[in-house]
Amino acid sequence: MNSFSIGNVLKKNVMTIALFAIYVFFIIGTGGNMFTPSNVTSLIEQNAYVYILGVGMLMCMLTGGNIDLSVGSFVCFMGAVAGVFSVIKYVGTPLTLFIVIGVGLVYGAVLGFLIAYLKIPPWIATLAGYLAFRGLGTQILITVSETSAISNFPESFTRLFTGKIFESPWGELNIPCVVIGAIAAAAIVYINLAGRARRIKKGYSADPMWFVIVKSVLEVAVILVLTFKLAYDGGIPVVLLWIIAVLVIYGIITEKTTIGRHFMTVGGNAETARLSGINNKLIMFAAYLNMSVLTVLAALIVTTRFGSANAFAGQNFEMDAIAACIVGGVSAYGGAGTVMGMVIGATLIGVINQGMSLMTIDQDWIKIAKGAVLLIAVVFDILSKKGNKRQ
Amino acid sequence: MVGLTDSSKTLIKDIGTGKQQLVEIAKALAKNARLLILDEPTSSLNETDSRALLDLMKKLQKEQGMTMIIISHKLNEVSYVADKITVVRDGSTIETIDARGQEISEARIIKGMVGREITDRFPKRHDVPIGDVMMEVKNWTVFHPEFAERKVVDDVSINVRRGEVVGIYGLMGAGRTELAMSIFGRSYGIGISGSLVLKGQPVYLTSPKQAIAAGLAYVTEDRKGNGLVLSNSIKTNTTLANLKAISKATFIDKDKEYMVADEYKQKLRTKTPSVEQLVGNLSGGNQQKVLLAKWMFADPDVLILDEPTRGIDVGAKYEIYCIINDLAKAGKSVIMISSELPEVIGMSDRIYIMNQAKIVGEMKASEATQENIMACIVKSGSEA
Repeated sequence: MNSFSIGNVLKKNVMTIALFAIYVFFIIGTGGNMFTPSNVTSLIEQNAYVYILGVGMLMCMLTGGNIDLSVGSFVCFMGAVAGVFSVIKYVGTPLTLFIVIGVGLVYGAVLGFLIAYLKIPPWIATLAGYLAFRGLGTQILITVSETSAISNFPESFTRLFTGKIFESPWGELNIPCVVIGAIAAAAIVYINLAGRARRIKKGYSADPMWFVIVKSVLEVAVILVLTFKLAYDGGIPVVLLWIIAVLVIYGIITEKTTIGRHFMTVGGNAETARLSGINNKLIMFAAYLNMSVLTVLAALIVTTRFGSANAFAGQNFEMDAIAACIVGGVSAYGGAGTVMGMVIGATLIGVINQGMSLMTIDQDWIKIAKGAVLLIAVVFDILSKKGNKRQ
Repeated sequence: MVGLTDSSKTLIKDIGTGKQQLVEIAKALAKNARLLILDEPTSSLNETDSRALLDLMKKLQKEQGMTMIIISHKLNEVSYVADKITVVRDGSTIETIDARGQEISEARIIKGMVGREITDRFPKRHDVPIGDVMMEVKNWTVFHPEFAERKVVDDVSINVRRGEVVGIYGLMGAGRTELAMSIFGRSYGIGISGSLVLKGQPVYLTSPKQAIAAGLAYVTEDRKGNGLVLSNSIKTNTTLANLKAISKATFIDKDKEYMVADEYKQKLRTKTPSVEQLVGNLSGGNQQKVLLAKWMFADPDVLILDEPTRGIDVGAKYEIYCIINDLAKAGKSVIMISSELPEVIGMSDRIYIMNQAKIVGEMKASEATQENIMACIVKSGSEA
């Protein structure tokens, strides 16, 4: 079980390897266009909302394969609310943020109450939100604006989620970005080596040294390539900081805390969880409250990226988040899944999207390809689990 | 043909499990089966229904020449009906005993199952003094959560002392699990009345969380359904009911968790290559050990064990009995719910007999025999 084998490592990281292969395929397919600094940056900026919503959806799915269908519509609605206060009513940015987060908390609490305490099936409760918030958001926009869109957000507002930190002109090497990238790379190497040393000291089985080195080299390579791409496109996008913050916080919560363990247990076996002293209802409530707060963040990111709140914002976002989770190996029945897996899943779909668009392939074919990837990922997951059992 | 007297239009959910089992057999017969394989057909039946089913098997064999294979944990059943007995252990055939023309004793079968002769099916109790009353339940009444007028526990009063093993014997459906779960933080039933006293202090528990904090543990009869998370590792299952002990400010100390799980694995002699193994991959006996480890790690004063040896083999049973004795020795109070008479008599200090939601008798284990326990039940049944 603990013994090291290359086969196991490959099997465990099959999605990561697939992601690499597909990325390389598209770089070649687009004649290198996919690998230009501006396209690397836009890959991150375009998919920022998927990472944020994917984390929220992951927490919901952990509790038993529960989903939230309302996130896309709620993104539209929250964009409209933010626009009304910030642009139309000239409310200051801090107060606007305060209001939108407040509205998100209220919706999350209502949704959590309906699902956890009144036991309404999540997909029905959130289907109501899916319908209502699209209508509500559109109505607000039509009422306050002739173009049924709100734009011209103040810079103090957009600056929080868009642009670059320590921005430098395009094509010039951005020094702060390189420094931060180098620090991140060094940190990864240190974590890998220190982790191995600690395991050996405590007498646990550890991966062989050569493997840790290979792993570190690959990880450092990815970080440095990303760093230089970003550095030549003006620096680190502000939104990337949000993404990393959310991913790290939730990665720690799910992997290292009792809170994460409670989520996994409720999804693994709700009755066992209850009889082990876990408050199942509170966990369900927390999952949907959390989802709504992250949806607000996604709404702010999307609205500022496009510079406007419009009635079509957030369409199919819920499906993107669910797909990212499923492709990333999150169990559709609950109890299993990682933030890292979801990130791989989201990136994989993002890469296919961008790659095929750059190759000027028709949108319909892109949809077909994404559907196929989703199905292949699930089938592969089930087959490999069957294989494991037979061992 | 199978001896059902109900109307053929009765819904399956409206008849008892014993009759449901008969319908199952009728279903097989209707397909003109020539070979009938019965997998633990009596595991959810009481003694009377079990006997009726076994007699039906004999009848089918005699009158129709039907070939039947019965898979069972209950040795008395096997020796009652079988012509040939094959002992299977760890996935391979150990021996086949021809039972025709001779009486096969249970000891003979057990010998095949464990590979040695078990002279004593129950380990000797440690000689421990029985202390003060640890938990007392008075006038406990519980109603069914769906049929609110039905009493599932009716005015029950029991107590258990420090270092004591108290058996609760009763047939399936007597209300034992309902009693246990309602005590454990009101996790079953509605309209619960009565008082619960722990270490002399009256307590009012409204959730399993509070019950655990108060020093109770309920080790379920349904380990797969509500005892373990099969898709998780032994490690995470072991620490589940007491995550606080291995975490600081919600951060789990994974090294400590591993050590705790490994310690219990060795203490309970759980057979597994590693505590990282998924619980779903273990045998029933080893799963039961993980379940016990989970609740032992929660460090309760009172353990309620609901059918702790159901569906596990004789060797593992013996080990579970040893663990129960060790718990009593460590000053824990153990309530053992069981529908196996020899087990209740062999393991308990004191026995409560439960029938139709009521406690119908109490006796010291030294005075208990299979006959006088059954007499209690029959007597209460005829009074009702």
